[in-house]
Amino acid sequence: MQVLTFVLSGLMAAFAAVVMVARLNTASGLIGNGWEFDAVTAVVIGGTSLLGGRGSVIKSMQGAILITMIINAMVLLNIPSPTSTWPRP
Amino acid sequence: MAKALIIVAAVYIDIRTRRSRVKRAGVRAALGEQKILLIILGIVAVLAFVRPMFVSSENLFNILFQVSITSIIGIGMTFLMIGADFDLSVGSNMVFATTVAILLEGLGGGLNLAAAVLAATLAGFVNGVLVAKLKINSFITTLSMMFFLRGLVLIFTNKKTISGSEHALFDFGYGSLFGVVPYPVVAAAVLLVVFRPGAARTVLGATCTPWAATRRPPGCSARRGRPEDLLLLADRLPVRPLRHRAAVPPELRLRHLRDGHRPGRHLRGPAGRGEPVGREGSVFKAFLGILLLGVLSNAMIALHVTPICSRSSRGCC
Repeated sequence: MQVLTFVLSGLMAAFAAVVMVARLNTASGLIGNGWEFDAVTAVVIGGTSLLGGRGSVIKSMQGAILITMIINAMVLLNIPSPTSTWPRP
Repeated sequence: MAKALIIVAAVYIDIRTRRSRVKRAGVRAALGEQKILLIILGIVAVLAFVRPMFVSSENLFNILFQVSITSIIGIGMTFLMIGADFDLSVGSNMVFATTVAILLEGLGGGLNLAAAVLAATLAGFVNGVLVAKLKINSFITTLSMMFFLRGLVLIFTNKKTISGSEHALFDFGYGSLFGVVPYPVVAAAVLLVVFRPGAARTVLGATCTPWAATRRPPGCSARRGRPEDLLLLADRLPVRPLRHRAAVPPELRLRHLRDGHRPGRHLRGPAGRGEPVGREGSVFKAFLGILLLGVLSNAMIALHVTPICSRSSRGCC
């Protein structure tokens, strides 16, 4: 079962890659840095315990929306770039 | 008669008070459950006032597009973190799959996408085998996989940015359903809908999410957050070897849980034989690890190994 969860994670990374290819159609060793931490942050904000045992996919999505909205809002509020990166881990 | 009326009135008032109290508690619990949504709505309300452009459809769909990729990755991460693991290689895995898809574009017929999906799933499978079968910590395994895949991407792309030219995919990436909702957002929503019941109804979900699941596993208490629930959960987590279950006295398991250890995997036996997270460590051994990496790096330079291969092989180590 534990292997299955890792396989699922790989599968989801592949689906994300399909979306990425469809949008950017570009690959480089430099892109994708820090995406894993964005995902971990979104999942933790969504209430999933770091010790395991509980979690919800929908709440993880809400966490992702929250982070993205905060970053988007900082851009719109003309907050300087170094300051606006703090919501990201 | 008057006394009876007074008693009936008192009982009625008591029932009403209790009902309203239960209702209020229910509303409070519901609000507590949806606090992230409330924060999001609060931010939207404030920004709609301060920067009206924020609530324009272009900006909202731009946010949703950015969220779609993180959400798709987050689905896999949620399942992993429910089992107290995590995957640091998802970002590199995604870039690796992207590279495979673009490099094999000439195959046509969607074969490149199938190969990309297969490659990323295979990387996930290798991670899983290393963690579950060889008992290597998920942090170490996935960190290594992250560097390994990034090294592979650098090798495949020859340190350059490569581009594809598949128009069908562009149509998917930039198109929108009914001219309103971008397809990437639709794809993320479909995956969320597919995998949300998965958290509640599959074996994985039923064993891992007694609090989030709509159907609690039999035997779990109705109250939330009690150590007993966690104990039951520990018994049901699939990652825990069955042979140790009988060997652990319940009071020891409860103590482990109260001490904050992660349920399931680390409750393997009586004190001394188990290996809970965070209990072991040595500054000297950490230094030895750093020394090993330094020696490896130096050896690779001495052997004229290219930096890309060096990075990739350090991921393997």
